[in-house]
Amino acid sequence: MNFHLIRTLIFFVLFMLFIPINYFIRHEPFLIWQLNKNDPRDLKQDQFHLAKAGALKKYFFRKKGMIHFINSAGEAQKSYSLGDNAKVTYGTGESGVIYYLKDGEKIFFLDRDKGTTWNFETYAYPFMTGNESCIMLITGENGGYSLLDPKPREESKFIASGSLLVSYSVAFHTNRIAAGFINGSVMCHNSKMDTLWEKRFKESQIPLVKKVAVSPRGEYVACLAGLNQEYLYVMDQRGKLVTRHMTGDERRRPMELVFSMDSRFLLEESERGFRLYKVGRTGPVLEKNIFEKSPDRKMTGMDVSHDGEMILLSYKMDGMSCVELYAREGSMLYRLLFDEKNVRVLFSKDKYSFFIETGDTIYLYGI
Amino acid sequence: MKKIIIGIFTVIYFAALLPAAQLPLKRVKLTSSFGESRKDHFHNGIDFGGGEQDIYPVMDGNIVFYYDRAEFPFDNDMGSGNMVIVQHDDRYRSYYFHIKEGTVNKTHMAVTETNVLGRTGDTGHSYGIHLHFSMEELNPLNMVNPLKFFKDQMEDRIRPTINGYYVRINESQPVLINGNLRLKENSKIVMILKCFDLAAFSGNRMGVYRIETYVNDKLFSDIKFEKLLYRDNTYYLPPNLLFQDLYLSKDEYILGEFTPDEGSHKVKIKVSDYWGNESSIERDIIFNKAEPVSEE
Repeated sequence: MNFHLIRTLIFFVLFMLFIPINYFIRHEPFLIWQLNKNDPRDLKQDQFHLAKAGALKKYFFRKKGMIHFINSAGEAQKSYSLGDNAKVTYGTGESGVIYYLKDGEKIFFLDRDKGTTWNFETYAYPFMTGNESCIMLITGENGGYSLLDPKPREESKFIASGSLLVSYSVAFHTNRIAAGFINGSVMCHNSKMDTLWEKRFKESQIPLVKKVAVSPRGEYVACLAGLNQEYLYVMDQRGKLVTRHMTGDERRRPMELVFSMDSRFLLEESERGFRLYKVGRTGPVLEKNIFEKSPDRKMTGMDVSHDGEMILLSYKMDGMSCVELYAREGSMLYRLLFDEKNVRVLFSKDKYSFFIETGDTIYLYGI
Repeated sequence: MKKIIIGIFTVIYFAALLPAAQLPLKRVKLTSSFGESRKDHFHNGIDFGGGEQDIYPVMDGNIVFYYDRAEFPFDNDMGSGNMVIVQHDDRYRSYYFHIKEGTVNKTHMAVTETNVLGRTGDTGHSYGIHLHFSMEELNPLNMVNPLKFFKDQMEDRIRPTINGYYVRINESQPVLINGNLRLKENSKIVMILKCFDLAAFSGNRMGVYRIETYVNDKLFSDIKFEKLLYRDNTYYLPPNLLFQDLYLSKDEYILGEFTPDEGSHKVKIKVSDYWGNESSIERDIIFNKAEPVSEE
């Protein structure tokens, strides 16, 4: 065996291991497919949204009373009619189920392969979220909510009719639900409707929680809270505070907060950009703080890739909608412009492709 | 002189307790009351109709939070719809819900009574254009009846309506009692009153403000929607009434239970609205072991 050849191969392999993966990715996204709508839509009446429903490669969109399941190639797989007055809430989690409300008081459970399998009558809870383990039904003004085991049973548990609920989050893979309230508390539940823990934040003034996010496997709950001084708080599974980081912002509105699918990174929308935290054993640590000096940008969405290596931003500026792709180390890789009022961005679950949803079209881009 | 000084200090003391507030709308129609039933929870504020119009802060303060769904077009609606929350020093927070799209005030942080917070709308969970208004005490955290601040700025002369007095005997179904109730056996009685208040301003059926129940001229129960105490992540009507302890259904109030001794017991129930307009009924519960159970 040629010793020099072996040594060269070894050095080459070692060299490859230390090169960031994005060096080998095409930085210019390329369009894989797009889905156009035939009719113009009214955002208020008919939400056309794409969601990470279910396990890999299961996506759906709703259009005028129909649910269409598509695969990652954009091919329609199954469609179901829900009727004109159905209000859909997508379910997250592995099974790809969807819950929808009809006639104000009936919840239907739609399985992608079997169709509508059962329904449940309840009070007029207009808003739902959930996964295959738990449905969260959110009331109107008071912000109380009920948790419901998504099997055909009548019993549900009303959790709180207390302080105004401003944010909620359901773990993708497991049975954890977090809820954040104006009075500065965060609660965490499991699918058995137990309250696992509650945290109340005491700062100089009565704080308020603006956003909560649960990591996909339920290891952490992150929240942004505070009045004049805003903090990022992260709790572990037992509710123990593991991170408290002053953001330096003074925001009066909710903002994006999202974990990567592998729970290793936490992305936070800042006033003019984003902050990326790496989640270690002792909780998230700030890794990158990217901001844009232009005050004219109005953020409309953001997402982080499954492994935290890519970040997508969408914002409005000068009447256009922009999508920017960033590498984890902070460099902007690409910018796409749309002549649209609103765009939404969403990474696919397990590979470097992402969806852009506009008022009339869904695009799938590869990287 | 001493009396004058005491009088001045008394006025200052009471003035400090309850700050002056203005109505949040120029055209006011009360359509829902504080504490009324919302199927499984208390209504934690009041609703104003009156058509589309500007919304004003009830007092000077700072906007501490707002939600404008136009910034989150792909999200599910929040039940409150577009909203603004104003904090008034460290004492109160006021909440303004269902604000019309495109009108949420995001430019001001400090607001006075002349700033416009938005326009009334029907965003969120709403069946028509209205303002849901709530007022929260911060220390401790309680929701208060907003009419406490506006009572003198509104007027109502319509008395509440009593639809019926019901009793549930030993866990049976509630029975309407039009006359007196006669019992032969020692029984646990749960008293239920069906009543509502008709809003003078809108003609809407609303919850009542107060229900006082007297048994043999002694105060048996006093249900008063003055504030909702926040404890253990839920609201209680003082002292310890949960929603399900008080409401059988929307207009049906559970007054309490008792097991009458042998003899005659006079029950008097007074129902009032926030302006003191009152209706009442009287019934006798007669427990005599020798006589059959009947209603007269």
